[in-house]
Amino acid sequence: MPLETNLPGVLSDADGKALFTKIRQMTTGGGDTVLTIRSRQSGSTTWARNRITLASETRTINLTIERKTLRGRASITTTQTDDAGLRTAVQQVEEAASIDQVPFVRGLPSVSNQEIAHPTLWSDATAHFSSGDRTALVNSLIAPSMAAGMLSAGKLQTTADAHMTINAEGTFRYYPVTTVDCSVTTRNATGTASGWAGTNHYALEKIDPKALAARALDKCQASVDPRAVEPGHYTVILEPQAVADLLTPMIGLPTNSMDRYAAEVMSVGPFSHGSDGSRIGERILDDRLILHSDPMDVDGGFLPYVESDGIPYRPASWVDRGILKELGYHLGYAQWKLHRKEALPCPESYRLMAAPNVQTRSVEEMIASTDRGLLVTRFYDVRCIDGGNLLCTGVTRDGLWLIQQGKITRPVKNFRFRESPLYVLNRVVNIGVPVRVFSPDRAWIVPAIQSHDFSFTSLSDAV
Amino acid sequence: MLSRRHFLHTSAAAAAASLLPRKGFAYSAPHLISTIETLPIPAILSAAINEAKAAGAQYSDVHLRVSQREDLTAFWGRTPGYAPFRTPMDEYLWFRYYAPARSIRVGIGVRALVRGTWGFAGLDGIASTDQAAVLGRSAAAEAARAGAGQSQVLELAPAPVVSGTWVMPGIDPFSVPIGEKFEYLMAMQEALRETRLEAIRSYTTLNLCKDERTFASSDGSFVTQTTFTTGARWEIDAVSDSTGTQEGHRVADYLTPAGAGWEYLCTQPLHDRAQQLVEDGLRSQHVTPVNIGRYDVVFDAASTAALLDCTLGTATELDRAMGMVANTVGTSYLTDPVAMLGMQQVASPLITVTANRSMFGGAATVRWDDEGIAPPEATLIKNGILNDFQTTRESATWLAPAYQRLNRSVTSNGCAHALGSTTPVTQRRPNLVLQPGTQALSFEDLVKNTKRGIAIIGGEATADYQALNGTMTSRQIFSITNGVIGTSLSNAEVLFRAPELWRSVEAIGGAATARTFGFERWRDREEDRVAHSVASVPIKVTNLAVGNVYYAS
Repeated sequence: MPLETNLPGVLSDADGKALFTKIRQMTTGGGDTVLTIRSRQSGSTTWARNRITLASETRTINLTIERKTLRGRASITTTQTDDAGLRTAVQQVEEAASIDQVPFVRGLPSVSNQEIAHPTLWSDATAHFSSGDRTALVNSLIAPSMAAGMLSAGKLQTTADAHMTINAEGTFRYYPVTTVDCSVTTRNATGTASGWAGTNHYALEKIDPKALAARALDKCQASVDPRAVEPGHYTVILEPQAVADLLTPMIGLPTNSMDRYAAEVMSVGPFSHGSDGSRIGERILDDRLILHSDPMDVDGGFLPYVESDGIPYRPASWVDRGILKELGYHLGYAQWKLHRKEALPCPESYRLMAAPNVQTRSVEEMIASTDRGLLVTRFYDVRCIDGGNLLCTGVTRDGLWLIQQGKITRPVKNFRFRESPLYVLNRVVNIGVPVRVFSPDRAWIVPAIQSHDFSFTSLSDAV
Repeated sequence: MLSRRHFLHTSAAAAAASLLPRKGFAYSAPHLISTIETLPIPAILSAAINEAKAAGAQYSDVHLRVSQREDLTAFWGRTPGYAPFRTPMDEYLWFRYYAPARSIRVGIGVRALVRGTWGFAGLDGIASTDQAAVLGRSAAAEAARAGAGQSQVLELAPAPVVSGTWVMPGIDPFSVPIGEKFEYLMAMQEALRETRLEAIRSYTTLNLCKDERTFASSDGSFVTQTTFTTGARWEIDAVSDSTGTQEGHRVADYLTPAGAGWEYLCTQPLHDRAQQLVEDGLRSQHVTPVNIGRYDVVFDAASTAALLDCTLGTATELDRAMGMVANTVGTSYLTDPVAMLGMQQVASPLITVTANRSMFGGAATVRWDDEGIAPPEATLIKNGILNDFQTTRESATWLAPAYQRLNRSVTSNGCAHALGSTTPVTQRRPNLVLQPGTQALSFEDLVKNTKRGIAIIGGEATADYQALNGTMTSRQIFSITNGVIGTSLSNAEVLFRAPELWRSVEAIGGAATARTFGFERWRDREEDRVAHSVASVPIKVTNLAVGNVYYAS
């Protein structure tokens, strides 16, 4: 990992320190000041109907200044780094902090000084991927669709970020990160078929955009003129993206349900027993499943600390062989109720996988073992209708096929579903090999899942 | 319990507020971004445009924008059910308020058109003239590289050259002292307390926004405008007695975002409507499960607005309908805009929908859009026939064959919007107006004329990525029997298919029932919300499928 981004458009650690010194001199009234910086250089190319519609390059900066005084705490976000702009921001945040009701309590470290894991999150090739390179790559993604008489739309974006968290008590975290997002939708000219593929990672060399474009095209060609089948309960083979979409209400932000304080004190969410505490120790998923997070995960690297307070993420086994082992908690709760010294923040990265010694199956094998069922590409607009059991509704999108006697027999029209990830992951038939899915700003690695009795409630014949 | 008096004695800001005049809003605060006012803005913008043109741009425009946002939050209740930033102390608090969350965003963005492809370059912070010139060159270079080898020529609908300055009428919310804003939050709690009904939880936020935009184009336009978006969310959970376990939930629908200043909140009848808010909340406790089936459904104005917004409002976005955003938000069930324009029956003849960004108080209202177009009023649906789409200077030209067939000129409907200065201009939702019916029918009249049906108040709608199939749910759904509103129904959801829904509109409320609501929408992975208004009236729709949220129908 480089210590510097070596990009003129992205702030260096010296730039960050200089900004912090300047801000500190402008503050009044003691207390602590935390400066969080995200300096980003971003290049993106968007295309639709087989032609590039927009190429852009931006340099953005977000400074979040948090003041913690004996009166209270408050934060402000600004994009101004000039003296007058910083002074205005400091005045504004100090006025805001004076209004807060709960004073900042000393004793808790305001920003952690703990050592952090150092996953590799930087790729020089990605950081220096030029707009010319982007154009050439995008044209190569469009070409197969055009040759096949289909319409391609998509977006390819690379970013190079410097993340910094600095406070007055000596904490200084600087982490350069690159990202790449690529997603492709291919439709036919009459609008009766649509296919999609996408992924994100920290480095271009970790993804295969051409394979994504090919998959979107394949899905489009295989889904022309879908026919309606009856809603009802089906065995489903959820491709990894569909599994990730379904997991959003459970581990996605801002609706992360893996919160120990919510479960044990507020008695809300799927992992609460009301006034009897949380469900830690109980079986909540199929006993072949493991859900864990590790900042050093080779395919799931993510910023190794909470950006707002510098607290490091730790490897955590959330669910082990179906048993709920941990829920996330903040430092205050750790010290107040759990008698622990460290927080366990819920991260941006999760890996859902089969337990060791459990035989995984490919999607093809799952199809071959299905008598009658549906193959699902992904879900759209998944929203929770009952936070108590994570019952969700949403619709299928960009490719749904009927499976009969172990073979895909025809594309079918989309459905609205009503299911909970907790129910689906308790009716597991087979588990695939986990892969990185499209979840921008997060790193999720999930497998395809074959599950029975998935509830599709009504037809949704949009394409 | 912390009282208002306690607040006044402990908060420094409130101490300042106590010195303020009680009436009138004449006081002002110093301008936040003082640096901007001293900048040679015309020189900065010219540098960007000139460099883009010198680098080969056939057209270029530049935005310099200052956006300020402030969100204030208070919670009142027995348990900290909604507190977003919890501490162990919260458990003992009845009234909890939070430091306002503030943001200031300043930046500049340049757009250049070269060989039919757009290039964009954006920079956060205050740019110097030299930096602006670099941005102009970068935008043109991005476009030139991306457009190399592309043969398609991109045309822009004509735009008159405009210049001027405009400030949205109203009191700048950022000129109002912070103490007065917190007094407003407390007034909301006081209003609930005065009802003497027990509202056990109340969660309130004020959302204030101010945008100062300067726009210049290579056509010669140069405009500066200031807009405000002001709104609040006031939600309560009510129980009839202190041991009640089933809560009635209600959100006030008269504080939704609007294109107005601080006066928008001050003129709302908080005290008059608090009683209604709590009673509505209590009424929604006593529920019976819905019987699945087909019903005639009477939607109140808020529910109709939500339906309109997620169906016709979404489907008439031309970039969606043409497949230009297929990879993100989706497409439209109006799949062939050119052929359908002026021909397609998309709703009952009772339905006429107009779009504009010039209505007074609209959350999407501007004097000029982000391409310098003074937004006209466009009739999207005329007596049930598809008449127009939401367009920008670029997208309007895609409809040229249809406009020609209909003997209409190709002009933008003013829907260009840049989310921020470092975000390229895209097409966004204008304010939508469902025209009232000619008969003076009220919500009650629509109920009275329904033999067996259900009535939905304050419904929330969602639809798929073509705006085609959707559902509506609400905490306020009632049975109608022989023209009389009956019991509150639980877990009911209306399932609809947009074309059938709008063609089955049997009756529509008159002008006296018209109300305006603000909606906030995200597209793709945007960080900020964008608001627009929908003016609506109650409607009655026949033979809709009604299911149960928890069971397959």
